[in-house]
Amino acid sequence: MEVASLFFEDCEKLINNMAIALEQKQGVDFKQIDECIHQLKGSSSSIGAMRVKNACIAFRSFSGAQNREGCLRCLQQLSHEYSLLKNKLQTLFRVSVASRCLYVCLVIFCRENEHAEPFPDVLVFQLEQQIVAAGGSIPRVH
Amino acid sequence: MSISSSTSTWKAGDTISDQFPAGLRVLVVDDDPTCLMILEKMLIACLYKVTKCNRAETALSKLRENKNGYDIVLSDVHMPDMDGFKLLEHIGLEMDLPVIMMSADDGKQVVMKGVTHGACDYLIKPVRIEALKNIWQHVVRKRKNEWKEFEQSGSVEEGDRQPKQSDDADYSSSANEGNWKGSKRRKDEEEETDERDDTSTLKKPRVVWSVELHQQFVAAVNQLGIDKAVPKKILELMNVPGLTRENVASHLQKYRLYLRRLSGVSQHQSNLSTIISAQDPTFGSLSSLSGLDLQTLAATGQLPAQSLARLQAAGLGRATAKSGIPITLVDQRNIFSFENPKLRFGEGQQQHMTNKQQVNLLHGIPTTMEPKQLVSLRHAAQSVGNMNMQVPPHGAQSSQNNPLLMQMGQQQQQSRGQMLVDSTINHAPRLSSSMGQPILSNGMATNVSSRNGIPENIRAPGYSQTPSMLNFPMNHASELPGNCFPLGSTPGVSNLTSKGAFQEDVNSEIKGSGGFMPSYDVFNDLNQHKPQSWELQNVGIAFDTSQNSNSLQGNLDLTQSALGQQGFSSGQMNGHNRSAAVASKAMFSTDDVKELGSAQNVNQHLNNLLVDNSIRVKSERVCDTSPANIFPDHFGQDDLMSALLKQQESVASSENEFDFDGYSMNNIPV
Repeated sequence: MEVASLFFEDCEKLINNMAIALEQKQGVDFKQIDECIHQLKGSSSSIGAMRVKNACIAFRSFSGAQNREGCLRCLQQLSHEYSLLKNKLQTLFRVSVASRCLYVCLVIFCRENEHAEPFPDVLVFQLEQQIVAAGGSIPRVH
Repeated sequence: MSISSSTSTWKAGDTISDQFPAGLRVLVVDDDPTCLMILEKMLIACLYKVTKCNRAETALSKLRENKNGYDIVLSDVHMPDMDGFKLLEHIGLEMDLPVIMMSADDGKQVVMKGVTHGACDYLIKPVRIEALKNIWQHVVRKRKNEWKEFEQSGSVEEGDRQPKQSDDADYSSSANEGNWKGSKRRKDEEEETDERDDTSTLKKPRVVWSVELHQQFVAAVNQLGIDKAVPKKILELMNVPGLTRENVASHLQKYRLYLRRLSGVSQHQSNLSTIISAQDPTFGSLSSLSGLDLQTLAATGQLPAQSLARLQAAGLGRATAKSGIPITLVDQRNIFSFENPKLRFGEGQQQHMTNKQQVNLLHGIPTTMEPKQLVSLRHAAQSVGNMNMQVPPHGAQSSQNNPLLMQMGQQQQQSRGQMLVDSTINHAPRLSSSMGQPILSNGMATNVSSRNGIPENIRAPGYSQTPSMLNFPMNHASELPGNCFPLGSTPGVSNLTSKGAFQEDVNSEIKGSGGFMPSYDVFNDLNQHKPQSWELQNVGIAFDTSQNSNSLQGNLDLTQSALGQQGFSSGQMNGHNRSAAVASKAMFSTDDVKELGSAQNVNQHLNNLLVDNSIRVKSERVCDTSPANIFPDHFGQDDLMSALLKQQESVASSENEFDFDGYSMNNIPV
């Protein structure tokens, strides 16, 4: 699913940028970090990655306070969440294609991710496409 | 017949209209590729036609090259290359498309900002598909509103677009209009879906509010008075074929919003102030005119509240406030203001000639722009001042400078800054002359004329002498002691020129000063309320300040010199304050952020000033600005500013004593 891969790519880039920015010896550019976080928050929420998004929000408050240590901690947390998410999504895709059953995949995914909101529609569409392409069927069950 | 054409169009659009809102052409702008991709997919799922851009510039160019290519725009708020709100304004002014903002940021302030900037809607990311399914309602709503405007305005054109009845109805008496409207409305409703779609598809070839068009618009608005400007009259004044009342009405609405925002925002935006100050030169010229306007406005009670906005607008190139000013001037000014933005927009966004651009410029234009502005301002000043001067918009500052300088006198040509100054100077004098006449009533006439005379005189010698800057100052210097008001201004000019001599060193300064010039102008404007000694003092101050800057003396020196100048000019305190203000302003221009605050204050102050002052100030400014231009960038602006500000506050008459000696002591060998 290109959306997800795009997201991963983007996310990794942002996380790296933030890591570099936080490593600066001379004055950390919190403004830039803030922008990165904002962007990450937007993408992660668009893709339905709640935990990543929440981590971003927490991160934001630290960056607003210009608290470098806090930011570093948050960044670590963010990376952690991101890896989790990445694994889950990859698993999901594999499972969805293999099982060719969207519903099951979604359930698994949601349970694992503790989604509090509906799975992003766009991802659903993509998953559907993939499943159908793989020869599966989309059960209209909710 | 429009009906047939519309029907035929309808036929073409029938397929679309049947499926509406499917097929809606959406332009998505977002710097985050993930979001962009997601949105695109969702929009496709809604059966819309999607075009995506990840940069605002790309989006704007796409919109411009294909005016009718899109029905709605979705834009992110936070983008690296251009602020989402700026983009929103641009689109609104130029293409009048519904724009929806998006952001993960759901803070109330941001959302409010979106709304005030004219966004049709504000979506919080993650954007849900249901929200996207509903965006077509904004398209419909906008069309409907425009149509209503059209109906009411009864514009002539749009025969093909609107039901022909409107045309006939337009010509009919208002008595019938109601009936016609009613029937039209009914008909509209019946055909609404179809027609709407059709109109949207056929829709109005979007009116591009080019710079010229906008200038005309602003001129018309100024002529009528911002409060009395009704679309119908504006349309008549503009007399542009093919322009409908509805176009004018919607543009007017945006313009008003923009002004309101400016006046509310100007104070808070240092950049804005800086820009304004930078624009002061233009302003100055405009101010002189606006001086009159201000009076008028003040008389009408409009001034105080709007003066700032006006001035700003003027700075922007919109002489909204100037109702009394001849349209030519206004146009010229507008042109300049437009030019300024042009110059400013280093990006070469020539297209951004709209007011918004100007505004944008204000919002964040670096001081560097100022010089450009100055250049443009000068042009503006020249044209404005001269009325006769047909200052061709000079894209190249240098080129601009040259022509301007020529006018002013060769002396100033050397440095760009000089030119800027010159233009400003010229500008001011010109303005004074032009303004002088109207201002006569204010009593400034004499001054003005004298002022005008002086600049001319000064220039004459300058011209005769040779483009050397030094010469110029020399002439002026000698004249200065005269203390006649005009002389005062000259000294300013001469200072400039002398500074020109220092060009080598000063070149950079001049540029900075160029920036100053605007501030001076602004400052002058401010000083306007401080009546009386108008130019000299300002000039003196400007002069001093510039001198100081050149010499890189302490800020205090500058202030003092400014003060001295005032004393010189004629012991006119006002001038003094003004100069200080100017100086501080000058400083502002160069030092955007810090000075901005003061400049803003000054500006505001200025706004309150009466027209008289404005006029005077302008002329003075011109001179002042010259010196200001000379101010070196590295001039301890902050210090200077504070010094100036202090001076400002404590307008001491004692300072009057300064005479040009003060200025001469600046290290500027004359």
